[in-house]
Amino acid sequence: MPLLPVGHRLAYAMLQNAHDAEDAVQEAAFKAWRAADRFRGGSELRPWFLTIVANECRQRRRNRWWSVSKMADLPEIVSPGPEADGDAAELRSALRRLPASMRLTLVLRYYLDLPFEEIGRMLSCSPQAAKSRTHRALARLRVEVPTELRT
Amino acid sequence: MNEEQFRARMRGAIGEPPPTDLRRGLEARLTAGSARPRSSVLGPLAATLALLTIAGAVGWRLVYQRTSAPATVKHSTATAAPTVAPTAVTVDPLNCRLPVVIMRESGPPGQMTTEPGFVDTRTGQYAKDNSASIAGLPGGVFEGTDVKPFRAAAPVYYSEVVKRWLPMGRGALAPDGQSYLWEPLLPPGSNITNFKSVELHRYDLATSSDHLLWTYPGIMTIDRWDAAGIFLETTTRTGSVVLWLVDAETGVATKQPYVNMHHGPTRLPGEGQNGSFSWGSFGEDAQGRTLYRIGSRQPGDQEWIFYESAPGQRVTIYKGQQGDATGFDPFEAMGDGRGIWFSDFETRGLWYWDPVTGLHKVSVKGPPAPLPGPNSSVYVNPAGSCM
Repeated sequence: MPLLPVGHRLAYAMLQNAHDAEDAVQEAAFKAWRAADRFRGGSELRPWFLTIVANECRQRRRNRWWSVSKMADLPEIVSPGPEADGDAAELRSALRRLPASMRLTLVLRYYLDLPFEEIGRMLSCSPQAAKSRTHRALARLRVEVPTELRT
Repeated sequence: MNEEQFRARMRGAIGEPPPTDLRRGLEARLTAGSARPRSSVLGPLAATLALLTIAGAVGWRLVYQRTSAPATVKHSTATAAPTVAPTAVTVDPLNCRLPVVIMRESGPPGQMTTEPGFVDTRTGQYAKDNSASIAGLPGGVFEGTDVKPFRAAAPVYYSEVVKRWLPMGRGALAPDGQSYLWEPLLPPGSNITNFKSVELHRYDLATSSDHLLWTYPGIMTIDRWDAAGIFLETTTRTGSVVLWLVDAETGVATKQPYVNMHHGPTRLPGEGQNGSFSWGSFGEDAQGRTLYRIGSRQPGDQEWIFYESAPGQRVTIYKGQQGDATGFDPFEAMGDGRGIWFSDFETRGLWYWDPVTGLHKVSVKGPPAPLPGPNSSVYVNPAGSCM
């Protein structure tokens, strides 16, 4: 499925955990697979699938019960770059503190580079509303990390 | 900072996910489940549930709800009637023979096996049922799927009524236990990715006869079968869900009002005020009441396992801390008319609870050895009423 990588990136950005992200995107793909007859509509496919991924991420954060194991966890795998960068760590931490809806908006726009039209389809709103939400999320992020985002 | 600079900051902050073979992982999930401990029990059961859902059997569907919480539709009398005849109350739950399906998994590469058997609840001794057979019975949890490698139907539920293993879960059984539902995809040989329609069949165990009840050009999910008939939901191509009541004899289907029951437990005053209210559901008792769990599996976290006798009226099964001395860590649940049996995440054991005698642990002896490979786990899942 060509959408798996972009779904994986979205899950990774939302969950900030490699294993959880892999689980989430696989689960989302599984759900999409179950609803295979809805996999039609050409250009609508990507936002539809990404919406499933986003929902799966949201569910996992909400139902921590099912995403936390007291068994010995595998070692966390993270990209070495961000860990070494203090500013990046600060921004990452700020993203984590954002409400999930705001984090999703920023991730879609600035991490996945999606157009507002597609973000709007995912968020069930107009492109203008998606743009507005993105700006609000940015404004909130500036409160969290003022130095990082000072222009 | 302009937009492109911020974009670069975002990418730098988040990084890129480590390389992984998602396709292979997904295939493993479809064939044998997820490979990691944190989801090792979720993957195959999630897969199984989905396949059960597709195939119309819901014996293991409850486990799936814990991870993905699919929208469910239940009719308004969902808690009113048991789906199977309760076991005679004379059986001592701690001195009886409990049907179980041992599930073993490991991975990667993903592997999963199941084995039907019985546990003597007095001694905890497990014995494989070497005579278990579903030969001649239609249906199966992987019916109509394109799971690779091909996974044949297997015993998943032991019917005390007909005294044999069945390829479908309890949710597919008639109230009297004498027949069950199964759903082949059409055209013959098609699977969930390319099917055109689904047939709803009732297989009569007493006469070994099969009856076509209904045909629908889309996904069909059985909710429950009680005295009123068969409640099922269909999903259209646009994603809308319709609840139907199908007459089990004539196959006549009538639309029902949509009721979304998957709203979780009723929140008590103070719960969720800080925005955090973590719950899961992992089974039902014999009366169809959802079993809830509030809390987390993090050691030391508070946990509360209960069902609701009425909205906001919680009947506590267990309340304590994860990892405390009790060690209760339930996984899959099955009510048998007297009480509720649970498998355990960690101990390869069983637990029994009823409102009179409370919670009891049954240490299971002699389950098959874990599969070779990493992240190997063994679960002893209840698969029928204790006899």
